[in-house]
Amino acid sequence: MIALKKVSKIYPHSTHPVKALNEISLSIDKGSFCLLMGPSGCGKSTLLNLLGGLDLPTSGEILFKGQSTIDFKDSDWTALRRSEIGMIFQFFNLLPMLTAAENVALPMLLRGNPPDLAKQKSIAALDKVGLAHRLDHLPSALSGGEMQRVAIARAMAISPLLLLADEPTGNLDSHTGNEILSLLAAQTKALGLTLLMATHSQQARSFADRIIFMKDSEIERIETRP
Amino acid sequence: MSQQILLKFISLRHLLHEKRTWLTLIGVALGISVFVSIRIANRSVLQAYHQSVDAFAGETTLEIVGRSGPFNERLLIALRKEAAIEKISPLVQSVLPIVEPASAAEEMLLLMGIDLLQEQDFRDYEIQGESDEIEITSAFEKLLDPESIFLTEAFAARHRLKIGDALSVRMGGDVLSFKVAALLKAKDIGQMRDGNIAFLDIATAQWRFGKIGQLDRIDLISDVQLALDGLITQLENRLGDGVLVRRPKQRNRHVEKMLFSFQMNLTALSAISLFVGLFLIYNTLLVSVAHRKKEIGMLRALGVDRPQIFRLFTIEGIAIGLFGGFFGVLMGALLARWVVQVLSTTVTALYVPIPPSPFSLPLPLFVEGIVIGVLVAAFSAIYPAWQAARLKPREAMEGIYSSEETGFKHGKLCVLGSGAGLLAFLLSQMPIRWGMSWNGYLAAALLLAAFSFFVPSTILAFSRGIRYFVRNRAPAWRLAQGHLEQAIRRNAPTISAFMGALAMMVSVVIMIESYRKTVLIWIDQTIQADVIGFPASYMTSDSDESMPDIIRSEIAALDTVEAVDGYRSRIILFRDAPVELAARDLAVHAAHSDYLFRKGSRDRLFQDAIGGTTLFVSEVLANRLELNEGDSIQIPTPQGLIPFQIGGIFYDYGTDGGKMVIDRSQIKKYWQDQQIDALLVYIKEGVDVVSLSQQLRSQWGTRQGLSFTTQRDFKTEIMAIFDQTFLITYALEWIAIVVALLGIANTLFVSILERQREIGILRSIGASQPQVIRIVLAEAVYMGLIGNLIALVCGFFLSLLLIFVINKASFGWTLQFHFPPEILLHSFIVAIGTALLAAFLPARKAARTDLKEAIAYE
Repeated sequence: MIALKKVSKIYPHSTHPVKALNEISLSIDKGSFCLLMGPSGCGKSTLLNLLGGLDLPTSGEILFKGQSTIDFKDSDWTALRRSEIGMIFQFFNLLPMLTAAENVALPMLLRGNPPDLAKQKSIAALDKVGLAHRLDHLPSALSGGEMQRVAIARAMAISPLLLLADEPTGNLDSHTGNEILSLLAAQTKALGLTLLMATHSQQARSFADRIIFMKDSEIERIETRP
Repeated sequence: MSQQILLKFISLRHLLHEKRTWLTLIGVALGISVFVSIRIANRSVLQAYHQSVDAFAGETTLEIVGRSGPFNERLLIALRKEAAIEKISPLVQSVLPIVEPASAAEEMLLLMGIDLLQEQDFRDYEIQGESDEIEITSAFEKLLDPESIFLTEAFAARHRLKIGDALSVRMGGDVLSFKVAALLKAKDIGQMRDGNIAFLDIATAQWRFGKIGQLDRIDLISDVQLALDGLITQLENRLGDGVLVRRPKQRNRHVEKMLFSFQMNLTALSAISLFVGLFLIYNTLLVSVAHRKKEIGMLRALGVDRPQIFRLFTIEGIAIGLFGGFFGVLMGALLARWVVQVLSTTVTALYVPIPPSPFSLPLPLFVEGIVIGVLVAAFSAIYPAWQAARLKPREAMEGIYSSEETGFKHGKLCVLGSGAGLLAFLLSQMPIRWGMSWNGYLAAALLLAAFSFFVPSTILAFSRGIRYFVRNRAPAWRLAQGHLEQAIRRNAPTISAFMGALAMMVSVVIMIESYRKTVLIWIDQTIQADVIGFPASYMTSDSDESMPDIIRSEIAALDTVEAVDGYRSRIILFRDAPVELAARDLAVHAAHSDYLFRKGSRDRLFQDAIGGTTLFVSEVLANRLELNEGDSIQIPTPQGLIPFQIGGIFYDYGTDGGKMVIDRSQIKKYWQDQQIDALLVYIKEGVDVVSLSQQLRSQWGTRQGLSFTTQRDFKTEIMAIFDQTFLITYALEWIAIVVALLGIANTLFVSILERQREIGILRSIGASQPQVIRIVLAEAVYMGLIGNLIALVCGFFLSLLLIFVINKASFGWTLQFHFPPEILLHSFIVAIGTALLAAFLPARKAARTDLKEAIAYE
């Protein structure tokens, strides 16, 4: 599904360049539920950013569905994020002036889907995450858990192949966090998605097929679970 | 913590490193530059005008002029008996077009006939190559030769003339030839009219200008011990009703009043840029407060008290004003070079010939510009600084990232707006007095304030109104609508500033178009002649050139001509002020053209005036002097005061000071004047107007120095002069729009800074760079639309104030209100165009947002 070949990321600085990732090589299979774990600053978020095309590697190569992304332009990554890569963040990152339904519909509208279809799909996606009754609520009227459900629905609504989640439970209490993890696991399994999640949550381990431990910008070890 | 430390470590760094500060600084500097440039230009033009008046007056303490025009020179005998008069200098003058040298052809030359024995006591004559008094006196003797004239060095240099060279002027079809006898240095009187002035002996002037036994003016130097008021009364009693005795400064009082109104209007217009600049600073500081909440909270936690926070932001505002003022003055000085030129041309065309005004930036104006900058900034900073000071430390430290809209007092603002609007209305209803319209200007300022108060509610209403329509549009429209509503506090001042600039533009365009339309209707009604003939110099300046009546008779005798109206204009002193007295063949005019009378039957009015002592008075003059239909007035004529009855009051837009119209038989009778200034030729049906005008030109044009133009060309020429006079007005408007553009750009930059995370999210869920650009542009379009919407309404009311209050008081004209429908499209294009232009850079910046930084948590 996705592979990294000796990917490095160095943030330039006149005196102290920062090495965020050091020659990472990794392969993630389709339909797997992978966790990225490790202390803060080990490079988890950088890795997710590179996979989502939000940042570019300094060296090395990322392959998506076997295709090299080395020559990808901004528009190519944008196209991928529109249709094949969904993203979920720690702080929910919903647009405050849009309702829950509008937030979910937005990526579809951005890729040019007709408004009616986008609306229909957003309602369905919100229904799947148990928020059919909160369609017209603004984010400010939703709880933290609900906001993250909306963010999940938004990421799922475009039927992506790869879901990148950066600390999706980091801002939630453990009960709500567990609910979100269960939801993510159920959704990815049902749709056959690949999920790569950066997290500190120990609860998340029980849902994962594979856990990638990172330390000092490198992969320390990989645990594969039956 | 001392204020200095705060300023050094906090304010200075913000001011130097935040791009929006620079944008604001440019805007403020531009706003001040416009104001300063108009002040410099007004001052320069006035200075040049006063210098020319003073040079012309010289040592004169009193002057005598005829109320009906040139007067009998026998008055000198009576004056010489007056013990209180020490010196007397009679003058005869004429402004005529130059024929030779060819390089000066059709330039106007003021020829002054002077008394060689008296003149040196009145004015300073410095003659090239002659230094002492004896040499100057001997140079003056050269003028005894009836062909000799003195020219100025400036004129001679411009046209490469030297002593002994020939110069000729045209008068009534004749060419008067002279020889240059001496050159006057470019000082005092030698500088007047840009050097286009010549001197000759008074006897020669009387003879050659056909004024034998007549004088245009007598200058007097009186005994300094005597009070002038008493002497004026004494002289008027002795000399009779036919002349007016006055101080030289009183000569141009009317012109000065008109000039003042004209300059005041320009100053008020230039103040719009200041108004826009004020909003710019206000907005910058308000955004700065919102943006620096955390910082304010931290400072408060570290022991900084409220007054210190207040001072911190006030001083930041003042610093922007100080530097904006400084650069504004420098930019204003550059701009003024152009404004001075245009203003000089306009004032010369409209009011009085003035020499090219010298450009100068005196220290008081320099200081004034900076002080205005500081005051505007200090005023703008009060509210944002107060907002910053009242923040509670804990709340502030929570660092609410984007502008909060909670608790925005729409209702209160609407009440304030309604109050200001009501006050503006009451002020506009005050009785109109000729002169400075303080109530009008105040009402205009209140009106702008009133509409500014309504901006936040309009943004809210607009946003809610379009929500339904943008729901199914491209996401950029929906997102931009959300942003608009989310940040009313930030957007309102920007839109207010933009609205203010646009509203002024709309109102000025409506005023000019109303004026234009009124003038067009007036021209159509009053100038229906097919061909108009006049001396070539007629349209250009204060020419004294005229033509003999015989030309009218010759043209009227042509087979192709139906009738010819002879038009003669003289300046008389009515109630001590100059008024144009126009005489024409009213029977011909009534049969072919018209006047727009305020009331009464036109046929009856013409019938009464033809051949009789009923006259028509222009509306401007009637308003100024409170004259009404049916009033009996005394008109000064060479034969004394003659009673005339006012038959009708007509609308006239051709003269600033007002006009009276009598039948030409009266001017022949009382002035013995057979000359005419213009011919209005009506052709017979089926005659080709172009061929006839060509025929007239070939037959009378070259020989008599006359121009013949068709009605259409004549109207086009009038309208071209009309449009030229509004050049500065349009330029000022555009600069105000540019300042407002900077305001929008500033706001959008801030908006993008605040929404970095949001842009990051959008990009991470699939928004492309062009889509992000479109969101920012859509927001700008909304701002432009709202600004335009309010500006159209505000501009409409402002135009009513301009037309019916300010203009009426300043110039006395009643303009027909005309709303040009195209203004709707024009203002829309300007508003959206400006908004999009302003949004271009911010949009590009938004699209290039660093995604990883944008979505980073801290």
